[in-house]
Amino acid sequence: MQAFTSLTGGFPRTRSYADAVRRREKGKLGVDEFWDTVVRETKRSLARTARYLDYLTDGMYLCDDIFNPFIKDIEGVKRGWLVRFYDNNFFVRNPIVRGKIRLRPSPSTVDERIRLIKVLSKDNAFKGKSFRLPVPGPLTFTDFSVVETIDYSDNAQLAADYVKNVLNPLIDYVRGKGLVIEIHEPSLSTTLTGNVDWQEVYSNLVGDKESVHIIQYFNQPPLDALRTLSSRFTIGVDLVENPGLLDNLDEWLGEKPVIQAGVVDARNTRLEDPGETARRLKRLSDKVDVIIISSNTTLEFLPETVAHRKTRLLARIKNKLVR
Amino acid sequence: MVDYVLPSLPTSVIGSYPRPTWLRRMIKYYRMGRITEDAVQEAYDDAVTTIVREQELAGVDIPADGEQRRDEMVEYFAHQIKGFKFYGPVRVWGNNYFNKPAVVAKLEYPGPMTVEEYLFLRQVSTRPIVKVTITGPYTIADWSFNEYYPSKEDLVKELSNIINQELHALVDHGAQFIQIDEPALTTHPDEVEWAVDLINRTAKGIDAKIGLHVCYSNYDLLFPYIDEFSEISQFALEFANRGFSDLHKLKGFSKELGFGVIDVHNRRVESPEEVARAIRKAMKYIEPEMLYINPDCGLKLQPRSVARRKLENMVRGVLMVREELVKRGIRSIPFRKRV
Ligand SMILES: [Zn+2]
Repeated sequence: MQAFTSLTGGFPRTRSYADAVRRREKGKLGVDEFWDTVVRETKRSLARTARYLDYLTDGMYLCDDIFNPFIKDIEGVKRGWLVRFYDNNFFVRNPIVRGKIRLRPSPSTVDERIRLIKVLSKDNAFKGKSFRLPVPGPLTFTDFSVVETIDYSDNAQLAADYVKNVLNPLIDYVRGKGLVIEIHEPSLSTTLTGNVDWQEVYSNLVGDKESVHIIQYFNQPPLDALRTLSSRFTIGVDLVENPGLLDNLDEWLGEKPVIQAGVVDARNTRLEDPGETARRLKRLSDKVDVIIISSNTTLEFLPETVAHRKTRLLARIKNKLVR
Repeated sequence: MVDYVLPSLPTSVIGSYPRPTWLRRMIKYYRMGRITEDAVQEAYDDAVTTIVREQELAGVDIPADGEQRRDEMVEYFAHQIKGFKFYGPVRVWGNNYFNKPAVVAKLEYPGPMTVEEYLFLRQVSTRPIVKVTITGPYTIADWSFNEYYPSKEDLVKELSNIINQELHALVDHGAQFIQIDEPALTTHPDEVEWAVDLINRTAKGIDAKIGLHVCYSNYDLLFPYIDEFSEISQFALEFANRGFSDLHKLKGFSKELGFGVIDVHNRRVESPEEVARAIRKAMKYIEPEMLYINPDCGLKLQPRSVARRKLENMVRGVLMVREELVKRGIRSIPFRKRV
């Protein structure tokens, strides 16, 4: 069994970065100056975490949420209004679908995030690390979308087009840049998918366990979806909210699965006990060849200081697990 | 105890009101260490005096202190109740942050938290009834990290005991109208059931009119429980934001309604006619004796001049409907502590 650690989603912004965004929004900071701050602050924050992590992300420092500014790169989609992100006291701007959706030929917001990752990778602190780029999954995108066009009379069609016209070209694009795509799919749950058939939606997704990591969190996911998807892609599960998944591993582990175990609670400041967590994970690590230890969801729900402690915790759990 | 009589459709506010520019500056100077504690306290007092006067000039019958002394509705209480810790801000949306507290030890009532606020408000207002606002136990818990209590329900239970002590302290000092703010109440549908019980427990044995403000929430989850709020007399709810679309759901509403007629997230100032139209629509489902009028929520996110004009037009709209009620022989309503 091989064990890795990973950052999932974003990392809390530093105060200096938040100040810079404020000044940028007021027009008091130029484009170049702002970019310098982005690089400096992301590097400062992520370099501290990098020694504990095998997989990193861009920290989503350039993102307001999982949809923004990413949806700017999708033709046919406009930025909507603030809506609650599941049951969190966190709000995202929803996508308003006004026409046929398609990834733009030059996705500028993705390019900017990749540019940041490239700058980071040159730094010694990030030597040998893999980077993932978080984006919304098809069911989550559909769940939050407000459809204002006759092009999509049903959600299934919207989800299907999101896979075919947005995610697939993006996966190829991102893979070409040497990155892994991190698909956030909390809506892959029994309660939220509604009339959209996950099987049909995901049957057309390209990629493999190396290039595509699908991360599900919060609500209980359908076990057959986990089984099917974990045979083809790396799958992340939320073992904080759904600890019972460890009791019926045979029901949801696919062929040669690579599982991201979300064992550290990103929604509570209380620090987990690394020994006990590793013991819990033993059942999973006995059955899979590769395990990625992470938080259940983005660490952005936590204050920065606690997010750093939780990241350090991931490495301690890994050490206990491989020992 | 005097039984007060209020004009029909009494007007009130939900709580927060924009801070005067000079108060914001004084707070900044205080935090930079450039002015003394006494100086900033004087500024708070002056701001409350000004804001209460501003509400009264706009014609508001039941003013509040505009929460001028509170930076944030949960933080204010978490800073005072013993057992909370602040690790730093978390992002709520865009580049907006909230100093989310963490419960790290058994929570303890620190002694009166809002009594001084109330006494000052009572002193500066010329109105017979004023409103005191207090953040409810469920919202404080929902907007905090829980490191200490075995369950969220246990945490809310503890907080309900603490807030209950605070309500007793307020009543002991003469408060007659207290509003508990619970914007988070319907966030987790499976918790509403026990949250209702614990809100009743919070208001248990309190000899004052207790209102409950719930905003930007799923009212379909709240309405089935209205009758079960045994200790709550009034619900202050937001309707302007939803374009007054759900009013038919008020049919059979058994409590007083604090009817939200002003959208606090939009700078456009509603006209008196619009306000009057909305009230007439609400009166199809609620008896005028059971109706109070207020904005949807606190006005603190508006520029101060917009907030003031919104209140003025709210009152003008109410005056139009009051004239119609006079023709029906309705001039006033009693101030009832319990409904
Ligand atoms: Zn409100």
